[in-house]
Amino acid sequence: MHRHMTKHPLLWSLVTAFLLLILALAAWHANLSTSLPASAIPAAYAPDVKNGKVMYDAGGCISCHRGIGPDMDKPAGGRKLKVPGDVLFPPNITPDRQTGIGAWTQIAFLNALKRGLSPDNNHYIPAFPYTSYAWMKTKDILDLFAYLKTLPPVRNRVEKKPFRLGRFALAFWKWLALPGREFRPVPGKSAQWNRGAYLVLGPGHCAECHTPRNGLMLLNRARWLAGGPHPVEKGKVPSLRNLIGRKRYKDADDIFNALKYGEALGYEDISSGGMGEVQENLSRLPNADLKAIAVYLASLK
Amino acid sequence: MKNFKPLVGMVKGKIPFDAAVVQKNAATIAANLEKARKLFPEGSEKGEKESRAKPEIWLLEDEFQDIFKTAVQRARALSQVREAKDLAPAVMALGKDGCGACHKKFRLPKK
Ligand code: HEC
Ligand code: HEC
Ligand code: HEC
Repeated sequence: MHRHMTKHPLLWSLVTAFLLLILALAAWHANLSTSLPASAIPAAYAPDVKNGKVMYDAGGCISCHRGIGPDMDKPAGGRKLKVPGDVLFPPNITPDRQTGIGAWTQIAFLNALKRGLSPDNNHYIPAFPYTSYAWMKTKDILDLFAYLKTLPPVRNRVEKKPFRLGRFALAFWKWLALPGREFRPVPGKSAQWNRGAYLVLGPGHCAECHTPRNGLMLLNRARWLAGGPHPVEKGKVPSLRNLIGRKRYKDADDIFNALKYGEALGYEDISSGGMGEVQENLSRLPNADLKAIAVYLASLK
Repeated sequence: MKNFKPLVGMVKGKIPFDAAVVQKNAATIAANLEKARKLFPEGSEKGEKESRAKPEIWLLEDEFQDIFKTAVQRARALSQVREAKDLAPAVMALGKDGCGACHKKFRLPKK
């Protein structure tokens, strides 16, 4: 075998290159599936609960984590969530110490949203849209945590479902899907545009539905927000590109009104397939933030 | 529904307020909703390839009918509006609790 190899230098170098590549991938992967250390929290961090509420509404946490019955308006979890080919029950994220995230540390919460990793270092199922939340600023995530801590705790145990392919299989996919960095403002664009882009890309996770996926279930960045098949329902998610040129909306103010009021002001195409919940959450944002989202969307060609 | 659009136009100040138009359109909407309510016999979505009716309509029939009832009530209340200042809340209540609430839960995205 060895003699055979030395006779074929090309094959030998290919094998070496392949092994090196695997090593590099493993190192990169290890980096991404390792939790962030406590030092990732800025020493001078001071919580801003009001900003945390903005992130909560932009992030639409309640859409998936909504409780049942009297806990409808609290993120107490336990409601059915349809995902491609399966049904999940999102957990309780109220600050109850036994059944919610009351006993969590800041760094555990940061790892959940930025790395998709649980406190026991397991991979979360990406129905929890951490591949978008990972773009968020550390401070915004910590403020969101501080806000969640101000909510009334609800005792409601929700069992974790095993992931059909095994949670470890997720490691590789996550390595491909997770952004390696936070959102960076695009130079040359206005602060308002960048605010909108940030809210859409990170907390808003609009791309999870509005950007089509490729065979590996990764977002097709070449068709950013261009619409595609709905992830779980029959029918399509519409494109958010060229909304003005296609005469879907008159201008950014019109998009703002659609997101703020939805069908209350006769915008008929912003209710179904999960968009109604998104619109309801967005309507609670400060007007300046919603306007920023509208300005960003209006700019997409 | 084309009868709803002009009412929204009045709320947005694009069309001048006209109590007679409000009365007529809102009454038509209420009547149309009553008619539509009976157009959802079980399995009717299967015949029409283009239908955006969700199968949940027949699983959660009570809830579906309740939203219809609310929508009809809101449309009737809207038909009583006589003054411009009362228009916006009435139109928005119909749009949100009627049209929006139902499409959110029981309508599929476009094909
Ligand atoms: C599209 C649905 C969806 C949205 C939106 C969503 N989540 Fe979740 N979340 C889930 C699911 C599903 C899980 C469970 C994942 C698993 O079992 O691996 C989860 C898990 C979590 C966990 C882990 C809890 C635990 O007990 O391990 C946290 C923390 C969390 N979500 C916080 C949030 C926050 C904060 C937001 C809003 C910014 C949010 N989620 C928005 C679906 C969602
Ligand atoms: C759960 C999937 C989902 C998410 C997440 C989502 N959307 Fe949507 N969106 C839809 C669907 C489905 C529709 C079509 C709704 C209908 O037909 O009633 C839609 C429609 C829209 C429309 C109307 C488009 C038109 O042509 O009139 C806008 C604008 C929009 N979404 C913006 C957003 C923004 C901004 C975000 C992120 C903050 C977002 N969406 C997140 C699924 C989603
Ligand atoms: C109780 C439920 C319900 C109420 C209330 C309701 N709708 Fe609908 N609507 C539906 C369903 C279901 C569909 C899908 C029908 C289909 O495709 O077979 C639909 C479809 C539509 C469509 C899309 C038609 C198309 O061709 O895609 C429009 C526009 C519409 N409704 C407008 C309205 C307006 C305006 C109101 C309020 C005045 C309203 N609806 C109230 C259930 C409702």
